[in-house]
Amino acid sequence: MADSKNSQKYWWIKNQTIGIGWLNTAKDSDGGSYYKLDAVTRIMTVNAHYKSKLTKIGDLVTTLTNKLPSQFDDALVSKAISRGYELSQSPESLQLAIYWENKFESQLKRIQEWDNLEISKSPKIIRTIYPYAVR
Amino acid sequence: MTSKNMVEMVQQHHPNASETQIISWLNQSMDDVTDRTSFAIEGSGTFSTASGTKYYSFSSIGGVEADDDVISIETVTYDGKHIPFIREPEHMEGF
Repeated sequence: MADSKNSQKYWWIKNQTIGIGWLNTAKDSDGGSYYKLDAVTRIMTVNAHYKSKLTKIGDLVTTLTNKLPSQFDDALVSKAISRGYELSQSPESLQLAIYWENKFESQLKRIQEWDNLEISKSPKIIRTIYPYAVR
Repeated sequence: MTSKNMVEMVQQHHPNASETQIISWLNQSMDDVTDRTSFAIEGSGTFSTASGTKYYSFSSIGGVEADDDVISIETVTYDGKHIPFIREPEHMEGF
């Protein structure tokens, strides 16, 4: 059965896909009715508002323009250096990998603090108990 | 800092690593940071429904390159109107 123009459409998520459909009424063997998710039959435009991962580095002229602290770039470099050392099997290199990993963790902690600070930024309301506000 | 600056800093420690390899390490590092912070890019894109098709991959949304890039879908409009989200569709027939 085709969906009518006015039937309510719904969306949901399944395995990195967006489901778009409507609730069709179906009958079970006992004669009772239940709702079934059916696909739409009309060609329509869907607009999805999403959150995605940060833009990847594609080439050597890319400048990271995200509104992020400078520690962000430093942390990426530290982690990349650590990854390089991890690939080597020598004990000296593994020690260096641990050193740069620790440095990355420390930089990440500062980024997380900055992140939390940004999230908590909200308008502070000063309630006027008196005819004038005391700040 | 440009990506060239970052590549050069890594190359000081790994002179034999190629630029492609280092960019790959930097991008993996970016995923690590993204996974452990709330940094994300907000965006919106469109796609068209097809008759009888129920599921559309994230990468079919305009502006999304890979399914893995999407962290969450916030809102959806169909034919210009916001439509409701079904929270537990796995319990429904036809899921």
